[in-house]
Amino acid sequence: MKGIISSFQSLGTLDGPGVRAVVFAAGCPLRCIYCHNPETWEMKGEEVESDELVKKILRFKPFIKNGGVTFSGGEPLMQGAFFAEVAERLKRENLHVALDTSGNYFDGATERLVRAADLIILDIKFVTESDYKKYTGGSLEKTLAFLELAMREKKRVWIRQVAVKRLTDGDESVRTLKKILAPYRGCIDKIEFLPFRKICLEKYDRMNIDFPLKNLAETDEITLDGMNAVLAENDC
Amino acid sequence: MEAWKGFKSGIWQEKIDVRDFIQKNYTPYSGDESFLSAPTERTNKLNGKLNALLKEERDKGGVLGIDTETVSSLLNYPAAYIDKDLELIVGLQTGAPLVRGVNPFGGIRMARAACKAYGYELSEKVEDEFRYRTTHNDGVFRVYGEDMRKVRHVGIITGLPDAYGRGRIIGDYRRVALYGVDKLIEEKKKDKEELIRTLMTAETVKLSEELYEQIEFLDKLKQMAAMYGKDISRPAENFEEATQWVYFAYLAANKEQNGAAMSLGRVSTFLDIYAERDLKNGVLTERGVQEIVDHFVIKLRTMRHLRTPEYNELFAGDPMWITESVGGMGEDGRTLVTKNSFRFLHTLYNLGSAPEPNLTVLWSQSLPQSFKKYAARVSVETDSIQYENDDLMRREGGDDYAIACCVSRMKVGKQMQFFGARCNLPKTLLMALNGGIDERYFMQVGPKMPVYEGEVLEYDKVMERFDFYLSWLARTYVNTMNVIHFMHDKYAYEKLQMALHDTYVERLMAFGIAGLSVIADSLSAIKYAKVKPIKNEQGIIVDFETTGDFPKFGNDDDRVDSIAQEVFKKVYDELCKTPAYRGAKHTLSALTITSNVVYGKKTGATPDGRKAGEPFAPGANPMHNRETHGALASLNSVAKLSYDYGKDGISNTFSIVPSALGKTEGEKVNNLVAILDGYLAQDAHHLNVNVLNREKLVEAMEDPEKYPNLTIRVSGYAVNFNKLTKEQQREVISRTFHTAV
Repeated sequence: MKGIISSFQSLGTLDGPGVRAVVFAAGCPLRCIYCHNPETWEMKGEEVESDELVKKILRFKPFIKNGGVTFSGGEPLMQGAFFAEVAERLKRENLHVALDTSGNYFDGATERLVRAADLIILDIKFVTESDYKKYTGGSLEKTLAFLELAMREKKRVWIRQVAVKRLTDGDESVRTLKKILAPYRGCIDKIEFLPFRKICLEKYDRMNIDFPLKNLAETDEITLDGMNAVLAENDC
Repeated sequence: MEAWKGFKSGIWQEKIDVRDFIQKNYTPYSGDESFLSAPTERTNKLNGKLNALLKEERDKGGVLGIDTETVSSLLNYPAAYIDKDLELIVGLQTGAPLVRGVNPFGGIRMARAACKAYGYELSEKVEDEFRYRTTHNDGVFRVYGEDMRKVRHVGIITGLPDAYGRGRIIGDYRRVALYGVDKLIEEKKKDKEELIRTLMTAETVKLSEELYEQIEFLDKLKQMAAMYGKDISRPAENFEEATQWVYFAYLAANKEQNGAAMSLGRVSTFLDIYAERDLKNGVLTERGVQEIVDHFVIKLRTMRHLRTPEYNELFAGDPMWITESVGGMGEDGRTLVTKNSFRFLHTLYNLGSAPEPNLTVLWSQSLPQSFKKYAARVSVETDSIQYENDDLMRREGGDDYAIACCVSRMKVGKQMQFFGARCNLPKTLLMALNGGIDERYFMQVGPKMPVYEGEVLEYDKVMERFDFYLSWLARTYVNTMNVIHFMHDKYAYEKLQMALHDTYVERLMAFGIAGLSVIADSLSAIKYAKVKPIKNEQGIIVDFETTGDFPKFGNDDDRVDSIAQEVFKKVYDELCKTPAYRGAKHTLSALTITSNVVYGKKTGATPDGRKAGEPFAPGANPMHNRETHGALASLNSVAKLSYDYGKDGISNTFSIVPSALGKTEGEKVNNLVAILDGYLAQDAHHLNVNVLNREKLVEAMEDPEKYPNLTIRVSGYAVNFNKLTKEQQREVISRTFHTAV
């Protein structure tokens, strides 16, 4: 079966435990205001057979045998059947598979892909339905429905959120996030805030797209520390 | 005997066999680093004095002083100290710390030029002494043929040790500690008596004379130590003495020779046996053991040779390659990691990070996890160590080898090597296209053939030419090396270092290549894209127009990686066709040190799109920023180069930004361990690891005082970043830094 890949990186250490190969899927249903991978929006890239991709990943087995493979993007759920097939093959090789997603897409293959993954890295982009819609074009409800599915399938979950000035970096936003996640606590291993960065500017320029947040300040350490402190508050 | 009390007996007592002594007596350590001691007050004071001297040296432009009146040798300088009351391990190369001696045995011109470069003049006294004396350099040039002079002149072979000491020889300095010098002299005398009873041929007469000189220099070694009030005619009796005896032997070798890259060997686990005995008997505490290790390393950090600016251009940053091999596994499956392996690495914290000694971890998949993690942590925090594949090298090298220079495996005391230079493969390709004409000097160097005709380069036709010229170059290269090493043996024989080898030693002749990734990418361009040669008015190809994409080395793409593999094998096979001097076995390395910059400078534009004069990638590294599939794909490409053809070493320098290794310190360490395990499990050979940001280097380049001790790994050794030339700094900065995805 064929899939479309935006890029392949042989060394990732941030998207899941240990040393990992990372496959960036092409195509995304969202248009997040702070997106740092605009090249993955369209379903355009390198067309690969699942066999080929598995073979390519297995070349890195000596490195990733205690780490694993992460499907990121773009949105891997948009090619659910393809990635499920790849994941199932990787599982047979005893490799750990992580699915890095926004959970904003659902079709007949989604459950199969979730089942094949060991770890779900779920990006909760905004904590209110209106912000979510406004800044990504998608829906928080869908993300939470996906989280529900992950929990039902007994998957371990890492939650992520990009800390964007004034939008998600306030104490209130963090508290709301905690409240939203409360029912799913049993399956969540960690909640991570990622700093908003502008290193993607170069890509936007190259692609001739305007980066809407080009004038916004990057997240500083103090803000992140503050957010983590609120996260750690024992209030629920 | 008092010195051996408490040691388990073995064959080592009957004959010189340091390995047997180690195997019978060492204590493997699989614990963690928590036992290590901080520096003592005394160490801090001594280190402070050294640091002040180092600053003075920097301020004076890199050379603190030169003793132009004295020819460097074992007994020509009085006993000297950094601070007599503070130092536990004594001995300096010259009459004062960091002052460089003059060693004209390799060539008087070189010595003269080096003095001049730093504002000194070689004294009349030394000039007189060498006026009627043949140096190694004189000898070589008496014999060099026209081909040899030409390949040297245009730089298709560069870095030939024909004007300075060849280096790369590791004396088994441990023998002095274990047996004392008298016993070593006695054994050499026996060997000589036996030899003289055999048939006298050119070879046996030569060896007899060498043995005479070896014995003479062992005697001088004893006298040198006596100047410091130490009697090393007898074996060392405790850890302090054992360390001191080893150091004296190494020091004496450096007074006698100025060879490029004279490694220390593999002394830490050997010395640990003495440390364990002293700890057990209450002679020393852990603090005391570390103090001696620290003082030993301080002394190693004072060592210097006088070099010319041209030499520095090739081997930047004033390196000594005091390479110490740490760790590894024994043939019986026990680890050779001891507490002293940790203590040696720990000097990077106690004394601050520094390029010397060149700490080299012999990595095995089976090393204790705690040692793997400690080494990785030291890498993340200091960028000062390199890793070499013990599982690979142990197969033929046994478990008592050490690394000569950067990556060359030598069985300690049993093998020596004739080192020499590198041949420039991209230049060979250009010469092949131009029918033997050099593309920069427009001079006929190789055999004459018409310049390549045709609009577009065709792979098969190009390869046919390349093979022909490679074959010619290989023959010229071996012949040139044979001349050099004959003359080096004749006029600058390493008397002391060879005295610390078995009399019947196995010889290797170490060849090298430069520009492996450039030749691979160039041939790939010819094969997969369209390459049009561009000729100048005289009809010589001076540039290329390359259209279309082509696979590039460093992306785990077999289409081009296989070209690199084939070329590597081809060079080795061609070299083996010409016999090497004194029955030496041919070995080959992909190691450029920092000479990749100079090699690039001397090479015209290449079909891969590299412009004329641009640096090559170092060693076996892929070309900068052509790796598009991330760090591990790059490692996979280099891992494909077979050690079978590159037994002198396949060097890879890997730079990664800290954030790309993981979030927490713990993750970074674990991930680096996984990367090293993964790379070396594929029979890859060597990895230099730098964990740093490009921005930091840019800052250090602009404001050197900000990071005076910034140490980075370059090809095969570590260097103080500030000691590189601006050009080399720029090259290091331009290399691929693997970043987070």
